[in-house]
Amino acid sequence: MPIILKDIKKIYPGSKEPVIEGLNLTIKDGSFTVLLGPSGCGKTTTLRMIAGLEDVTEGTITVDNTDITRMEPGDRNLAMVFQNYAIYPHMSVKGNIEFGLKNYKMTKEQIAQRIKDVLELTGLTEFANRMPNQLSGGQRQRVALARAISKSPKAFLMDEPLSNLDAKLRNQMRSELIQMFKQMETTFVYVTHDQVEALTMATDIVVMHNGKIMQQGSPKEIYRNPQNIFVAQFIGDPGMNVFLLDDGNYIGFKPRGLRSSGSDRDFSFEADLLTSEFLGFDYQYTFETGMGRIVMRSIDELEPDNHYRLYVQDADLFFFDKDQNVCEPFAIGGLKGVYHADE
Amino acid sequence: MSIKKRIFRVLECVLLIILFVMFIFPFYWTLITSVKGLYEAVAYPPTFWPSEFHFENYAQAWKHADFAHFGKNSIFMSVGATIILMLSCTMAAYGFARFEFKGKKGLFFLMMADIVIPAQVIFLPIFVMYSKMKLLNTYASYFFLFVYSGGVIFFLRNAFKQVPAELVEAARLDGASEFSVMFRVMLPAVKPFMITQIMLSFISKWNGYFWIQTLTTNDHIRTLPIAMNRLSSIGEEFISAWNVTMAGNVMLMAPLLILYIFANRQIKVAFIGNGIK
Repeated sequence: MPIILKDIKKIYPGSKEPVIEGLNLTIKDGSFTVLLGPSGCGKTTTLRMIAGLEDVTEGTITVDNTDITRMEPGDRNLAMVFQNYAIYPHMSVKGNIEFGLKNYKMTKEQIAQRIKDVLELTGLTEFANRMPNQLSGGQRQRVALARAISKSPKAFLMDEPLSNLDAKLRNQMRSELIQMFKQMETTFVYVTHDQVEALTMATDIVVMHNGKIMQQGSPKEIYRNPQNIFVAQFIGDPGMNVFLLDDGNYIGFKPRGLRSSGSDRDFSFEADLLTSEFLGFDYQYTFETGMGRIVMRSIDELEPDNHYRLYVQDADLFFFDKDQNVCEPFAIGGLKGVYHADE
Repeated sequence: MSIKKRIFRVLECVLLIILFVMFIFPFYWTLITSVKGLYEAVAYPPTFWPSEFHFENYAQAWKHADFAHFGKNSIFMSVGATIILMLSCTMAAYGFARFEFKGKKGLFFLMMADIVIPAQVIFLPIFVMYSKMKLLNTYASYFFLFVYSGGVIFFLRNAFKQVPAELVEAARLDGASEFSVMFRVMLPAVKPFMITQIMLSFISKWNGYFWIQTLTTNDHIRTLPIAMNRLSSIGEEFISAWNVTMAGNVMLMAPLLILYIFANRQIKVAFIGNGIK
């Protein structure tokens, strides 16, 4: 059941500037689609429009060939998991799940059976009668998941559901979500600004910036073949180093593509080592090139406060045209300076 | 514990004891006076423990202040006005907290004005209006006064605003109607605030003197606080029956104290916070 957004425009009441304009997006049936981008890029707004919590100014949203653009949130048969869980504080775990099912006009027996099933599935059976304030953060998020699952929705919408959890629990919940996705065989739409979450869980990543889709593809495509400078610099830890050239084009290379030794045929330049950070497996170095700072990730140990010549092999170079989109390799002219997409 | 800390601790205790005595003494005085004899109640120097107990003061107070009639009025009018006030103000506050609509700012301003304007300024026009509408001395006239209170709406609106928006959104995705959202999600979430306002409203109606006194010309809808006036005049010549007056006051206060004991925790939560996590 694909979710299709067509020519979506969104203007918030009281403002004139659209936050989203001309958005076209197809979320494949049964995919784990992650909307990824920095804050303010429109990813949450997009998700909330699918959920029906925000009005769509222009355009249509269809799920399973049904136009849901103006439908009430409760009639869309979608379930949402919120960042702060949004479980009803005055209802028990069971009550939280029951509340939605009652509105769905199921019989008492059906409701009881459904509650039993999802509590088992999420490992909450023993907490059925607990109140939310007696639960830990992870358990609360699990209640929110149980509540979503209980409705057997056409799609799960998740708005940064892991960002309130501590690092360890987040890793654990991440693998639980992947398992859940495999079991459910339903569409997941997941919003996050955390590329690790996106790369680990998604089957499909949609990178967004300023209300526009910058690139859509599998995690590997996004990581290996960024289509433009924004994606190249947003994805990766840290993002790509990009030089603006005298002719207005750009070249880029990943911090891991940078080497401290190489041949004369490689692209190379001079730089001073500013800082080095030991990260366990490798090092992260920051260099001053005279045209701006660049970052290198390497397992080689470099002497601090030294001057270096740095090399990038042809295979590790990325070429971008004046519009900042990826293009065919060209002859590299003079360097103008280091470029950052977010500045 | 250092000496400095000890001195602080002692000072703290002394201060608390002084405050305790200051607050509790009027209650104590009312209570013991209510069981004193007519002369002992006005004796000088005063006695701090009654020499003999006159529980018949209570029966006298009940009879002379006509507790049957005025008490019935007090209960009916306080409960009724509180219910009406809470019903209308809850819905108004919910609207202000949740919806955007034309003229919201203007309405909000009007509502705030109600908080600033004292009753003494508007009672005369209201009296004239009621008298022309032939509403004086009717229960309806009293209840009309309390279909609306800027203070209560403002307080509850702020409480509703504190409820995370996601809770409402989750309910909407759960297919809940607007009424279901309000009564099953929002109201329980602001329960301590509701209970506090119900209590405060009930107390102010129960103790209310000004409006009843100004809007009535006979005893038909008058309440206990006004009836208390009758008690001071029943003593002997030159001596007011303070003992009976105090007995009446104890009976007037008792329901509030009992109510407070029950709602104590909720009120603290509403004022100190931690109401909603």
